[in-house]
Amino acid sequence: MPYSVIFTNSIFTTETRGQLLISKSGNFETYKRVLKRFSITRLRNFPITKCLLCLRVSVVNWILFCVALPVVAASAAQPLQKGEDIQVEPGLTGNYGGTLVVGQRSEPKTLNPVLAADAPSREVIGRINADLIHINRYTQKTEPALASSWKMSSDGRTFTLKLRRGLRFSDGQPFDADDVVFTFQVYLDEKVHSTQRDLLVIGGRPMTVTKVDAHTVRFELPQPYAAAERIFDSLAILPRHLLQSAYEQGKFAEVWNLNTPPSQIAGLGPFRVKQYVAGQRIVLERNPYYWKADSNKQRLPYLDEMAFIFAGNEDAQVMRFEARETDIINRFGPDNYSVLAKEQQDRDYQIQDLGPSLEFNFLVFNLNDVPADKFPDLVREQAWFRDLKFRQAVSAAIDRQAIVRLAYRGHGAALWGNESPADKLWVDQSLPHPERSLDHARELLKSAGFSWNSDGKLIDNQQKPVEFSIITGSSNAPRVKMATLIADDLSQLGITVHVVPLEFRAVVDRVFQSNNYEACIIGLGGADADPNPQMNVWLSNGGTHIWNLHEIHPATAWEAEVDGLMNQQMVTVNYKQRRRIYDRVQQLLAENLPVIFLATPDVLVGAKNNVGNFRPAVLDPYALWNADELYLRRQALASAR
Amino acid sequence: MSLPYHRDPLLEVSNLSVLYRGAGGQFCAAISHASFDIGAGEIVGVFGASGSGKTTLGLSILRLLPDSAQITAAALRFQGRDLLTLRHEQMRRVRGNEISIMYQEPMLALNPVMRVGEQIAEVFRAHHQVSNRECRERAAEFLQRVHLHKRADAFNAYPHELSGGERHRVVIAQALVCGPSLVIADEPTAGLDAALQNEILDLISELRRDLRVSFLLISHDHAVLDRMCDRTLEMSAGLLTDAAVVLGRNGRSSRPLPRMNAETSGSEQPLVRVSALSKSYQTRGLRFRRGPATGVLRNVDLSIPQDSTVALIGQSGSGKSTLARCLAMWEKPDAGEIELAGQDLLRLTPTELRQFRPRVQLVLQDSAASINPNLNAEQIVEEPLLIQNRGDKHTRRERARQLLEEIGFEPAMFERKPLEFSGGQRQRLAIARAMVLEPQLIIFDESTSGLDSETQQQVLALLAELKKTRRLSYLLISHDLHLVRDIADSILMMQDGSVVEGSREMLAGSTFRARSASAATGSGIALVESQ
Amino acid sequence: MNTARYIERRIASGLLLLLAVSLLSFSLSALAPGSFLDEMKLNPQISPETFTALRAQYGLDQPIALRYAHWLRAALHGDLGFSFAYNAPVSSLIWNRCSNTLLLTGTATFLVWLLAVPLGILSAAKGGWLDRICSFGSSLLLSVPEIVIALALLAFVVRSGRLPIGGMASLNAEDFSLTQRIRDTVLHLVVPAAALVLAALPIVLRHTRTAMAEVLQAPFIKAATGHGIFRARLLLRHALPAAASPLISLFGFSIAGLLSASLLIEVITGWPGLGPLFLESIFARDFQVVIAVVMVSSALLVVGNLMSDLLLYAVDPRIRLE
Repeated sequence: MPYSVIFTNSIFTTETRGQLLISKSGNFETYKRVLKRFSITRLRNFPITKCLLCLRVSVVNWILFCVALPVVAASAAQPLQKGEDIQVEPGLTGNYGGTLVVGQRSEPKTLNPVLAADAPSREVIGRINADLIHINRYTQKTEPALASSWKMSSDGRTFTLKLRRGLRFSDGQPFDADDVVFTFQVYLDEKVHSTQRDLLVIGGRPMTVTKVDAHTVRFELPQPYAAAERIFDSLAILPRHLLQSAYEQGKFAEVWNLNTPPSQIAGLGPFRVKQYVAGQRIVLERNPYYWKADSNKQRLPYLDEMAFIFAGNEDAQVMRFEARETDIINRFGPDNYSVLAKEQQDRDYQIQDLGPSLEFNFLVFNLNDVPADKFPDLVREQAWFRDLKFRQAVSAAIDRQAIVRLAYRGHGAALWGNESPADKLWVDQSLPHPERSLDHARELLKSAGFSWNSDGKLIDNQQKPVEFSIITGSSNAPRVKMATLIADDLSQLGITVHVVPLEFRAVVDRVFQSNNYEACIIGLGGADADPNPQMNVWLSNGGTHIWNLHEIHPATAWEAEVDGLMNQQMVTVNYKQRRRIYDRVQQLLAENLPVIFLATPDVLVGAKNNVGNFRPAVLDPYALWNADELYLRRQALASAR
Repeated sequence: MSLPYHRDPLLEVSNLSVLYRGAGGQFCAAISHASFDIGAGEIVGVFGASGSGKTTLGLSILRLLPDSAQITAAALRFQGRDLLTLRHEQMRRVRGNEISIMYQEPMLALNPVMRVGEQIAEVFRAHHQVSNRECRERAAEFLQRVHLHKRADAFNAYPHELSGGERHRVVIAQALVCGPSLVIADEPTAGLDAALQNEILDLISELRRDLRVSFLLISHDHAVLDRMCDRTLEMSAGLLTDAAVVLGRNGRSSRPLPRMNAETSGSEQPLVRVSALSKSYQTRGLRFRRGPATGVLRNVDLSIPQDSTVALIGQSGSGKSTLARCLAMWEKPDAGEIELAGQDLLRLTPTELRQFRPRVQLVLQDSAASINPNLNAEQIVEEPLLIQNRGDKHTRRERARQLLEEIGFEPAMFERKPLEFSGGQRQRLAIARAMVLEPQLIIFDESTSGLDSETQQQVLALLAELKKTRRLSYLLISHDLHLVRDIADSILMMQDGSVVEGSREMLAGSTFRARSASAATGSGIALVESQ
Repeated sequence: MNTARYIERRIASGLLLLLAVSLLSFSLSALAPGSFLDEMKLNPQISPETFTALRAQYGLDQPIALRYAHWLRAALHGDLGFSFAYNAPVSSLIWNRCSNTLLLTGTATFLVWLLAVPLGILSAAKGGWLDRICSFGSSLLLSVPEIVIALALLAFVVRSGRLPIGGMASLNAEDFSLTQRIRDTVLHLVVPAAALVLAALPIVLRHTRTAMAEVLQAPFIKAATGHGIFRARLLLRHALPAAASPLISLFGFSIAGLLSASLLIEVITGWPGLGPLFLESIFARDFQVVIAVVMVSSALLVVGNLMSDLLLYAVDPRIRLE
């Protein structure tokens, strides 16, 4: 027997891995072909004495296949059931089979959707879970998901959701309103410390959820909330049958970590966990009960499996894509664009620049009230920073186009306000985009009482030279470049700027904790194309009110106005009205420049040409949002990987 | 004691010259036009002072000189074959098999990490295609022939586990195990006490008789050559005085040695007082297991007065070196007391011990092994100051230079590395190093025994010279009664781990003569002669 | 010295070292600016209250001395702490990565010695062009940081397309038979192991060469030549054991060097060992993991050194003298 095992191995080595994979995943035709080919080649190449052995090997393979078949069958898509409220995607076609390989920069930390905070974890969790109402990443509008329809009461405070019927979790257990109620109970539990809890707290009071019947739930909001349906996006609905006991024992934080056996994890997303190998990869397989189907009424997803491999860093991620080890690269830096673009033809993949992302990078001056005895220099310098004309002069002197060209290698967009052009529904197109003007900057400085000494250095009215340093995270190369470019721009005004790249956490610590900095370049945003996620940035008492963190009451009149407008837009349900209010906020910010908006990077993604339905979007998770629709074209399946 | 002399020569050397290529490309001659022959069964001696080229002569016969040496000869024939024209592999077959060589200093010539039996077997294995077992049996047989079989574990011992005499025997066994016709023996008895020297020489005579082997015996000791050789040649500055038989000369300088005990102030308390000192060693049994303890020092009492020179004589293995090590606190005795200037050394705390260290210095026999070969002369002398953290860089260097001058080094020599010095110079360097910390007591453990007599005299004169300007005492450990008699104020004898008090006067007395004859047989004769 | 006492003393000093390392890494982690939760501050959707509550939950508001005391008590019971980022016990994160790191370091150590010792012997014994090539090559490699070596190898592999770029196993490795899996792992090992070998080779090579050259000058080797011992046997049987002592000591150090280098190489080549986990944890300020990785690597080091000490004790009879 050992001999035949070894022999089997040698035969398998002659076969490509791709075919082997297909054979295991149930493509019967291919498998037969594979077997046939062995036998023929074996018979031709080996002396007669070995033929018998060869036959035995074939038999062994057949037995293997027969054993594999039931396993394969279990994960094959279930035929559509009667009474199952399936969402059919019109116009969608594709073919089944294959494994899609995605490279991740770092490995996920957890599979617990309530606690996951890091991007790689959310990227995986998003594939195995589903939400009630989903934001279509392509249209940026909401669409039905687990809730097939919803209705808001006229006062804007009651939300009634109709759930799809006949749905099952990926372990086969049915889904109903109890699961939804349980889910929101967990998210809202203060002891669980979900990072998403704050989303569900409106005006300081949590929303409540009640079960109306098995397929209807009602949410009561403490006050009217604009675009309330967007809140539900990415809030994964949890299986009560698996998690309730752990939750009641107060052990929710420990469930669904990476060591949890896959059978203990279930969701309503297109995939379910198959295997996790520490430090190497996590493999998802088709959820046979997924609730979407294509135009041919074929149950999605098309892919048999989806594998996330952990590359460790962006360069490794890029290299593995370049070497065709991965099928999709989900977001990469502008420096790698030209590297990947050069080989596009030869290596049969395509990369795309999707245009600006939601992230906005800005220069912020430290306007916090800091103790004068602790930071005497900073307090003196804050006299400049607090002067609107000084900030306007700095803004006028910055060459944003150069930043886009040099820091983002052209793959970005300049910003003059807080909304990126990516936010199609909310960006205020009428915001002025003033050209860079050193003369204008000088005028502004002069009128603010600054002057120049004989060396051409800018001095303030105390005759002190204007000099400060900009800190920024060293791991984000474009931001470091921005700081350098700004230092260069400002030196033309006679201002001396020192660029201090620091490790990212050290920057955060200085900005949010010790307030020990003069100016900083940092970025925010990227959550959703809606004004609400930015509430805490622009409200004067918000936790991310970055330039002045300790305000209780608005420090300036315009901040008071922004406070009022932001609170107003939150409860305004009508899009046009809301948009008008928010446009005003954008104007106020652009006029008063609490921070100086710089630029936004483009979203850059890539995929092999054989990936079908590849429709990346500028919203997170970019290329993977429609993972259930992605498929590998047939010729790709047939040829060896 | 000579055997019948066969006329057809075994080895015929004529006009042998060895040139060393210097750094600048010029040649300097180590041996010029040496011619001699050795008959079968003959023992030919080569006498010469250190540096005269006698070792080079021995090595050149087997073509063992480094590549920088150039050998030319009208003839270098061994049993009719010209050794100079042999190819490498042919030459290898000659080495150890037909002509073998005994290097001086067996401690260095034996591989420290190989069991000695194995080292003998290795030589046999190199020349015979036989099984491992046969090689070992042959090696065991030769261990027996050199009378090492009395030690049951001799075969499996490592060189450092053997005594000096035993190591010599191993080297002899190595040289003879293949049954060569000629053995080149380079200083076969150097560093041995008189009794051991006798034993080794007797052994060589015995083996030569049994195995009918010729010897080329290289030595600086006339007494040895006189006793062993059929003929003696003299080597001097690379010139071999053909058949210059120098029998009858004693080799010892008659120049009186300077007396060291200038004025003994007498009444003070002794510098060192040792009472009831005992020390024993664990012998090693099987790996990781203890063997029985053997006593080396048994209730030793002695005292060393201030500013005096005390000599300690005794056979090898009598515990002299152990006593020296205990005095210098290199080893901790099992029981007893050691007082230095009234201070009990055994009760010192580690810090006090550190302060004590400079006050007693130990100079060993093998200075080459105790000096860092990577430092130059100046750094070697400076090193103890650095370790003790005395003075700054400048004063340390100044002090080192001063001492180097005192021991007679030229400034040009300060930068040289130890291996570029001769044995005598190295020994002086070791003395300077011991001296630099201004100790109260210096112990010389056979410090001069590896040197030829001329150098020995120079070193002793230096010691006397150095003592003039300093307040310090010497403890001279030696097996050489001559040295002891000439320079010591008092003499102690050591026998089986105990000290027997002696005195200069006793040396002349007949009572001592008998005892010293038993302790140091060979020298005893010389003592009688010179009186 | 008594063997048992010798081992006891070495182990005791190893444990003391580990304690010191833990203290040091704890203090350093306290000095590092920022905390694990800082990234949340940048998320406008998380309120400061939530942040404070989380801080208290993770115990980050306690003084460092108290945290150290807690940690030490747990560590003595074999509990290496809890990872904030992974929401899982640190030990569950470390062990299988540790075995991957050991596989890489072990392979590299083996190869380094397999290559360096014969090369060192030859270059010491033969001299000439071989020696010159070895010494030039090792100087060159010594002057190139291992990161550059690893990146160069990776760039080469990407161009050639013959070898996998990163990771430790192919995606479908579990479908493979044992021999295929071994082959697959070996293929993945090539780049990281080669980078490590190239980084460590020159050091070992040079030490071997020096030790051998020194021993070849020793009188007992000249004596052995004089006894007509074969050249090859002279080198391997006579000179090598005598030169082994410094090399065995170096062996302990080389494990240390390779281990620390491998953490770096792992990050670059995507080898799923302790390195990527370590780096990520540092950046994330997940200090329980950082400290655990430091402790495990230090423990490996201590064990490596202990092994080489014991080996030395066994091999060199001169050590046993004292």
